[in-house]
Amino acid sequence: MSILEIKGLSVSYGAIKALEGIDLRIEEGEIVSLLGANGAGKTTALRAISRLLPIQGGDILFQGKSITQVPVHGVVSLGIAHVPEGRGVFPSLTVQENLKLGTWANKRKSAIPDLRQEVYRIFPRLEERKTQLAGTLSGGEQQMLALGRAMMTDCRVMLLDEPSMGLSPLFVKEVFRVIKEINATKGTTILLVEQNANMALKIAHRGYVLETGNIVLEGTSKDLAHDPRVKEAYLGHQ
Amino acid sequence: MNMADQQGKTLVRFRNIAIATILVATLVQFLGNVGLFNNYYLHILTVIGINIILVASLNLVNGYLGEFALGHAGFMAVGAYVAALIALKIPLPALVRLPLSLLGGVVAAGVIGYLVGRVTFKTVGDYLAIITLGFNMIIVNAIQNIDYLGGPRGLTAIPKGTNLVTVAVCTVITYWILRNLVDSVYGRMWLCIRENAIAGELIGIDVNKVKNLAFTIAAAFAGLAGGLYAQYQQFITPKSFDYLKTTDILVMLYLGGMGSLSGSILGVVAYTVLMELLRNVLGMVAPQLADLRMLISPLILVLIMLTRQYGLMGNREWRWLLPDRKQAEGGDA
Repeated sequence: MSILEIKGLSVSYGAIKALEGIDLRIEEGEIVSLLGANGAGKTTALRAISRLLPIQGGDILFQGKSITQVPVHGVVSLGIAHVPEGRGVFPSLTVQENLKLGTWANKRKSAIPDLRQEVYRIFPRLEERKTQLAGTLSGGEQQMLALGRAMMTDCRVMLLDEPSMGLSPLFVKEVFRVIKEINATKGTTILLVEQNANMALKIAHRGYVLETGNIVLEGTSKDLAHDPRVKEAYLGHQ
Repeated sequence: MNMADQQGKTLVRFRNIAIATILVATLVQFLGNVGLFNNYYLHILTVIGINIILVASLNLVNGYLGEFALGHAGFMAVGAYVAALIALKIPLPALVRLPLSLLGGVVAAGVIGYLVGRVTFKTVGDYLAIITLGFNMIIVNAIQNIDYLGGPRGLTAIPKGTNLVTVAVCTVITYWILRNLVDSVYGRMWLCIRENAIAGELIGIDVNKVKNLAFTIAAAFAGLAGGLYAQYQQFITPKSFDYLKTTDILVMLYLGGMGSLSGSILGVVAYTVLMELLRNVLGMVAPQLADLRMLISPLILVLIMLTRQYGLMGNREWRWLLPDRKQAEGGDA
């Protein structure tokens, strides 16, 4: 049984169809990247999975059970954490408080100290700045905080929306390294939406390519990276 | 931390200020009763106390939660009428009557607030403002048309249960509860929702529920203020709780500062004192000028909004009113 399975998912904004019945299958412990140009429907897919958007058709199964009737906050406590585009940290709260709020939906309260230690191990910078207001962190640090806060929810699946967007090249590398580390050490399954196809395919096991609301390609990262169509559209000629 | 701070921490802190407030209020009330303290000033102090409860509680919704609710006087009306009815219709010894009537007002306003919140928090922004304003009007109009509640003439001869001492005690308790709420995990969630509601949802906050919690608590305290007002003034009419009263509360709130409980105190004191000063000064010049203060007060609000958008104390607190733990960390919360 796949940990997350999406069957024939369609989402519309009014009369405009954003997703026209896509199928995705994500196995436990995988990093799966979802590639596509602007407006292909990548963010829409993530927002539909975390229930921020109403869906018009299809089903979303988490560990074999449909979650289409679960409210947003319920999805989080089931174990799906969505780190939205633009990070969404709470600027007037401290780093510590941001992390603490991440535990709100966490059902295993006894696991919280370990989770915090884990977050500080992966992101030593956050521990150094724990009493600082999140709004005063750099963009890269805010992304780290958003990832750390998602970890605090004790999630099994992380939905990451453009985690490298707007970061310096150094931080881009660091973000991808960290995503890989979270996946490797904690076994967290990751669905990664990225514009930076090059980096995404480097850390992902498999990938899907989304074009105007449809999945047009899928395969292992290696296959995708060598596919002429992907090369041309997303990786640039090499 | 230097010596001065240490000393400051031991003496000027919330508990001591609270005790001092109640002691001073008791003394002033006593002096007023024996004719050694001007009753007009006594009245102003009592009104200030009641208004602090109203403004500080609305701050939960409009300041910390960042929503814009426009119906606070409606909940005050619920509290006032329920408390007045209990005081009027149930024969009780005075010692039991006051707490019981206030409790009745608080619970009734809280329940109505919860129900209104259930409906309104499906919307945000302008819609929420309009719907809450609508509820304010509905409550006032309903009371106006119920004979049992005295209709437009209101209720009279309510037993006098309130004076400056009871108001001071209630204000201190209210402030203490609100301050601790704001400092609690719920307070943090209100800030989260204000800053980024979607991110709040995505970390598992049931946004509507947490919003409605703030709204219900705010309504309950408005009910407390209403109960105190009814038993202080001894007569109430629906008109005292219409949207003009809501506007008054809003003016004091925005003057004092959004997201600052200290600001709520400052706003109420500054506005009330200013209005009374204007009334007296203008009245001295020429009695017909006294109404000019109604023109000057909105003008002051406009100036405040233009120069200090978040009010006098926006998002800052007086250190000595913070919880001890926070006070040690220092200043701005």
